[in-house]
Amino acid sequence: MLVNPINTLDKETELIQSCIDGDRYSQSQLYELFIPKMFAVCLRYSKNREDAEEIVQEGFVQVFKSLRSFKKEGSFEAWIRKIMVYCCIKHFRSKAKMHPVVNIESINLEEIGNEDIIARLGKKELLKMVQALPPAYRMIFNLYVFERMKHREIAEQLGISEGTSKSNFFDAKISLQRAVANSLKIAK
Amino acid sequence: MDEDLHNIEDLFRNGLEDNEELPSPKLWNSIDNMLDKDNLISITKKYSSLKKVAVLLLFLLLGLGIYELSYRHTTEAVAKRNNSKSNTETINKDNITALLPGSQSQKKADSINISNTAIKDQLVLNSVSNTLSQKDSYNKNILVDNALADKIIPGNKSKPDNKNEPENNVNSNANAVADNNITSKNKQGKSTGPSYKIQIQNSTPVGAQQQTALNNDPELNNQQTQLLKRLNIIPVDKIRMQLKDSAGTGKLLQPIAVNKISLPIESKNIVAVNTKNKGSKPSRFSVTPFYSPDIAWYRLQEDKPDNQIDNSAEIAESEQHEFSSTVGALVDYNLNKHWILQSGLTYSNTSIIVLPKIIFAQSDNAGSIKYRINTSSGYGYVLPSFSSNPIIGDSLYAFTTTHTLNYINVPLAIKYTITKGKFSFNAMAGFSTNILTVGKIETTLKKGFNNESQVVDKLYGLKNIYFSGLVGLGLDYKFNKKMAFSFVPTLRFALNSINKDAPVKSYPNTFGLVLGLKIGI
Repeated sequence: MLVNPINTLDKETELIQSCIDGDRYSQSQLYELFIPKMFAVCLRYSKNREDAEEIVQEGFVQVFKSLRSFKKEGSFEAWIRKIMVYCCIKHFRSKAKMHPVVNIESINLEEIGNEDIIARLGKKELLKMVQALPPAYRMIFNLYVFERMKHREIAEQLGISEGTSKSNFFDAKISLQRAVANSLKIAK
Repeated sequence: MDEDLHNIEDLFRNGLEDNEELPSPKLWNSIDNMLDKDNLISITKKYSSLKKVAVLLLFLLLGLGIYELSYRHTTEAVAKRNNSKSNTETINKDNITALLPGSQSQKKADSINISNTAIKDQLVLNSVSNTLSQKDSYNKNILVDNALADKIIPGNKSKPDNKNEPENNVNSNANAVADNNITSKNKQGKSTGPSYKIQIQNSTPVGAQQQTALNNDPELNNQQTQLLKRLNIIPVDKIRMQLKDSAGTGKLLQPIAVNKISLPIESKNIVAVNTKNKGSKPSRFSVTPFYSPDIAWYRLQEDKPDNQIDNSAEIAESEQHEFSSTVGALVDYNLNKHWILQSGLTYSNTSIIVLPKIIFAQSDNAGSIKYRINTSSGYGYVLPSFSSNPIIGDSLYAFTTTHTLNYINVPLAIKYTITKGKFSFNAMAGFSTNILTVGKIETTLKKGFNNESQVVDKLYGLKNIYFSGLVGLGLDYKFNKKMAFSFVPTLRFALNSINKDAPVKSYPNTFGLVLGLKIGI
């Protein structure tokens, strides 16, 4: 079934306007529409579901408060996502300090395709690996890989040096590589 | 190895980028509750102006109460003082008959019959009326009005046989008597000679009445003047006589060129008090314009216990108080010898500097993305021209930031004073309502080679009103009856925080050396 993008956009605009007017039902509709993706984003930045729920809750309140400022120039989903990521950063800054991790042994992965790994491990397994990272690594890894931010930008946002960002990112990847390898061994 | 690591990035990006998860079903209820709470806060903010008006009304009411109390006290004090002079200043209980001018025989026949009791009762009525109206209570006019002959009661007729009679007469005439004037009548055609009675009537504006003198006969005038002087009704020195022969009989009535001759009537004792007495009454009010250099500090309390970035310890470490001061005027009202009620209006200024730090961009309360500066008092947003379109999380370097708080304070305190010669020692305790007038942040921002100074006039999270307690020990040195030098070291401590919805709760305290000049009014 084809979905007319114009109608979808109109509906989204109407929904946003209703939310600005304070219509609670519309707000709940907006929440239902975006919560799966936004919660997944917050899960990646959090250690567990409880933390993610706390962040996504704060994020949605912020979204409803800030709706008037949405300029409708870009994607609404991207705008919400930005706010969620900001809330994750804020949460991270209020909860944790940067903790460098030492003594990481590099482990060579087997030469297999990513699709195969995803198929064999599953998304939940990958999510758990990210969540298991130390907070700083997880934050930097997420910002670099999923938000496609540069190390300079990450450093500015987190109040750290660019070198620290690069170093932590590298260590995060090593950790994940090792975790994936271990999981594949178990899966065999 | 590097290739493997690169694969790791792609692996997770492909695996998790479009991932979707559902949270607990109860999450929406939590958001719903939070939105309700925010609405409640916004409604509360809407009514903050009403609260301000209520506080102002409260203080106005308090001021009115103090004034009322003062007025009553003054009236009572005057009455007491006059009681002590009652032997000389109250009207003699015997009837007084005075002769009006004319021939010597007529002088004897003409008389001014003054029923003291009648006058007394009328004055009592006036006194009651004056108490009710509390206006022009001291101003009465004395008129001798030929045209008002019908209001003049012949002395022979009105002369009471006993003490009660005139009272009845007066009471029966009381309603008919409209003016608070003393009138006398000169019945010129009467062979027996006119008799005069002085009536004191409820007052009307003086200008509408024709005012005449009793007579131009010096002796009788003197007698009458003496009588009136004895009554302490007329400030005799203010009566200027103008000769005017009305019938060539020698009994001359003359207009008095007297404007608003005062007839102060204070109490049931029918005591007249001249204006000099009133003026010499010591005032219970005094004003103290003052200046106070203050030592300021604050107590910070976590508003959100899990807040580790803007926690109280970090903020306290990054901030330093600068010079603070208070200026204003205090009004003292002496309740009695020892106790004083104090209020007034003061203006305080506090500046705090924040050491250089990195600030981050985030959505402000209106939804725009700006750089947020957190302080102990609240937070503000800046948007420098070199980074006018930031995204959430962007950062800037903020050089030393100053935030300034100005309040109008309305204190209300009770003072206990002990006087030893020219010195008065006092202890004071009370509270102050502090109304925010200015809350601003000044900073310089830097990014790369760009520098820009910014002033933020709006500090968010700052309450418009907070209350503080006052405690002080002071010393006054009297220069003279009216003026004294006042020195009152005063501690002001916040009873509630100056902010809400801010990273930390701030309770400002100051210790001020109040230096002022106390002036009696």
